[in-house]
Amino acid sequence: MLIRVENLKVSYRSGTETLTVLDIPAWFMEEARQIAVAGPSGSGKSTFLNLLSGLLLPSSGSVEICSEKISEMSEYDRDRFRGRHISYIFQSLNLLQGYTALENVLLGASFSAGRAERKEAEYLLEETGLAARMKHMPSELSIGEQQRVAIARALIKKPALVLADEPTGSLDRKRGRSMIELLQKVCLERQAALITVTHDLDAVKAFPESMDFAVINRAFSGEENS
Amino acid sequence: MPGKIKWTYYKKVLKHPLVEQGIPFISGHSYGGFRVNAVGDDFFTKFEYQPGQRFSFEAADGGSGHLSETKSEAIAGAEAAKLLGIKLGDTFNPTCGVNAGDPVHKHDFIKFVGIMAPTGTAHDRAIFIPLKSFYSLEGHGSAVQEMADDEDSREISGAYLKLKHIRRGALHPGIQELKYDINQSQGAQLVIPAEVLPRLYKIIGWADTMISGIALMVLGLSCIFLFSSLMAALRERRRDIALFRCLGATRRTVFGLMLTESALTSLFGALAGLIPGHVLVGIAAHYIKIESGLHFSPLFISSADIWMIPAALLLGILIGFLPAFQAYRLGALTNINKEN
Repeated sequence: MLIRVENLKVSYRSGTETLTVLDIPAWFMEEARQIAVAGPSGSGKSTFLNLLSGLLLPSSGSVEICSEKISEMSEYDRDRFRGRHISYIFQSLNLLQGYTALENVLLGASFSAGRAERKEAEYLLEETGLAARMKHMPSELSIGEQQRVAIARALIKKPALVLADEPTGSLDRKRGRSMIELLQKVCLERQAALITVTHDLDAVKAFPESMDFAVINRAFSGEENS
Repeated sequence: MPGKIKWTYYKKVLKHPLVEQGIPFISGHSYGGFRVNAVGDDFFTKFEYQPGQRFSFEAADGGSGHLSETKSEAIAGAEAAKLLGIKLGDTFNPTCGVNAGDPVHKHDFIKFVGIMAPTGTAHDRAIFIPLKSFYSLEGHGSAVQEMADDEDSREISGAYLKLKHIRRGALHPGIQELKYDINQSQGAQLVIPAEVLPRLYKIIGWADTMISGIALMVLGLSCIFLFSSLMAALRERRRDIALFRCLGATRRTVFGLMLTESALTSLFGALAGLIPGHVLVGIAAHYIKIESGLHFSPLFISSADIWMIPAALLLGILIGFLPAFQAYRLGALTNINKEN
């Protein structure tokens, strides 16, 4: 089992009231699976990814990844764990502007336990169709190309889990579809599990599995109150 | 006339109990733009141009030849020999005076028999002939030429005196009385470098203080500039730092990166001042040497230079501490989607 989530809750205090924004009694995911998480805005999809990445701690419950309870780790250990096992692809283009495409990819392994291999970075960029753009700065790349650099950066450290938050959000339909296909292909080749949060139905259809987060999150569906 | 100091008076001064040794000299001649000084025989064997340092003709030290044995033999300082292309065995005719157009002793040929090893002092830029040969120069007339054989009638320009010390660096207190006596006499004056130089430094000391003040101001401004640059960089790079955190960088790593950047910026700033400074010394040293004979090496590393490196690193770390702490506190999630 790659991910095991139990009694996961995220609550915020608003004055005297406690507002629960996420409530998942149980959720599991096997290694190397690929799943699309769909749902309307505000359903807690991104919060869920942040919990899985260890960037956010739950108010209660547990998140276990690779048999390690990251929800009980210190922030320092969670950062290190993320550096080794989890990659994150964002909707907004988060490449370092002063670095070439190749350097941005190498950066992906800078905080992991292993050494960043230049050959592996070059191979990933070739695989993502950017062989001729390795030395280019992000400002010289199109949005689609920048997102492909982000995919290569996510895979360079050979993670167990890739989290993608609206990876097609900045792309048109055609490019979005090709981006999802590429992401699925490279994750499959490296046996990395993939969780993609999206509200793009085309993207959801491209996945063998999907889940409606509005249903899974009891805090959003209102099931907890029933 | 050779000088204002009577030989008899010089001999009298030499007999003073606080005077250990004297070396007479006569100036006023030149060759190829360099001074030709007539010096007493002890000049090359007993005179110390620096404490414990005597002139050398050893090849290992950069010298050649030997001391003058006859009155028609001369010795060249290292710099004068180099610039005039003097070789052992060459002869020259001294000019009676130091200005262009002054008469030349055309019939007096003096041979170079020695070239002194470099001393890094003004002596490198002079030519030395024996005292006796000065009086014997043809153009000086019979009154001066007689001085070659009749010591008591001689006159000299001056003399180096070695005075009695009570300990290293401290002259005997009785020297003041000797100085008073000589300065009260007609035609002579005693100058003690150990007394004059501090007074000179006091006069020009304000320049040193001013330069130090300017350096401190520049340092202060550099610190402020570095601090504000780091803070501005931090504001601009909040998203980059958040990205590092999302990629797995710990808060400590981010703190260390900022501190390293600050320390390295400070270090490179120090090197960017230090290296051109030494290059400038290298360029200026050539001209200073030509003008004064003093030798400054651009490769000389002072203790201040050595301390500057760790000091710059430490300063960089101190200045970078607050920006690094701010970076440490930045939240990854709150900054990852922020526009710069």
